[in-house]
Amino acid sequence: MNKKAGERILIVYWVAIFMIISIGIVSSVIIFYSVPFDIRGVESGILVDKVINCFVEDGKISSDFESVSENNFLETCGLNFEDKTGKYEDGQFYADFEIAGKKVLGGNFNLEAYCGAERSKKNIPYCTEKKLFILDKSGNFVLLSVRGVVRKLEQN
Amino acid sequence: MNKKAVDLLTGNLIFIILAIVFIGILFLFVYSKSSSEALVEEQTAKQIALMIDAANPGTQIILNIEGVLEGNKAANPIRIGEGVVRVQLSEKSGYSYGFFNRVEVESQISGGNLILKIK
Repeated sequence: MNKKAGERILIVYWVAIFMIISIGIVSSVIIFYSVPFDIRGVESGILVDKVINCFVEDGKISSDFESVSENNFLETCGLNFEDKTGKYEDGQFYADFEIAGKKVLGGNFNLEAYCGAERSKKNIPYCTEKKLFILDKSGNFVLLSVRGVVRKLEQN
Repeated sequence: MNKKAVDLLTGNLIFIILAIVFIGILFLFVYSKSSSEALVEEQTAKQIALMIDAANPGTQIILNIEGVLEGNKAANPIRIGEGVVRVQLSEKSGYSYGFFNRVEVESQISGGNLILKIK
């Protein structure tokens, strides 16, 4: 092979290297930035904390607990599950709590089934579950179990 | 300098310049993607919605949004009301995200800061 032919092959080689690098960088950047930020994990965590703070005061069960039912659960805890963005259907949230045999639910009941599902499945509603012992009125430990689910698949 | 040396130098110079241009274009592409309007709107709307969700009534939040407001063309870039945060940096774009905390939020932009009063 003469010197000129060798140089041509070298140019083709460099162009190919540049092309491969640029395709790799461009495609990875596009893929990375086209996926929305998934904040459902944080959102459902905050939701669960809100419910816990609603019924627990200084480690003891609060007075609101006795009067709460499914009709006033969301109002009592200062939650609003209506979606007013106008783009998505209602029923993006679900929350429940169970304490001393009393279970109260709020929001879209269909989302309850997603609690306990595998976390690896990204395109399903996100569930956060917390369990803690608190003191009841007579000073005995009771288990408080709270779950919160956030759907919002289109936005996350 | 003889002709061979000049040819070698020119060839190498062109190659180095092309490589720098190529890397520069790649950097510009990555920068433009990472600071795109749509991305900033989504990020800001979700950040504000999470802060409101986690806040208790009586809280005041001051958020630095100087970077968000850079190149802003909208008159009212951040609107909060009826359980929705809307960030709109130009007339054609905009991103809305809902929050579940049943609170009233008073928002005000002052000197590159967004001041949120949770009631």
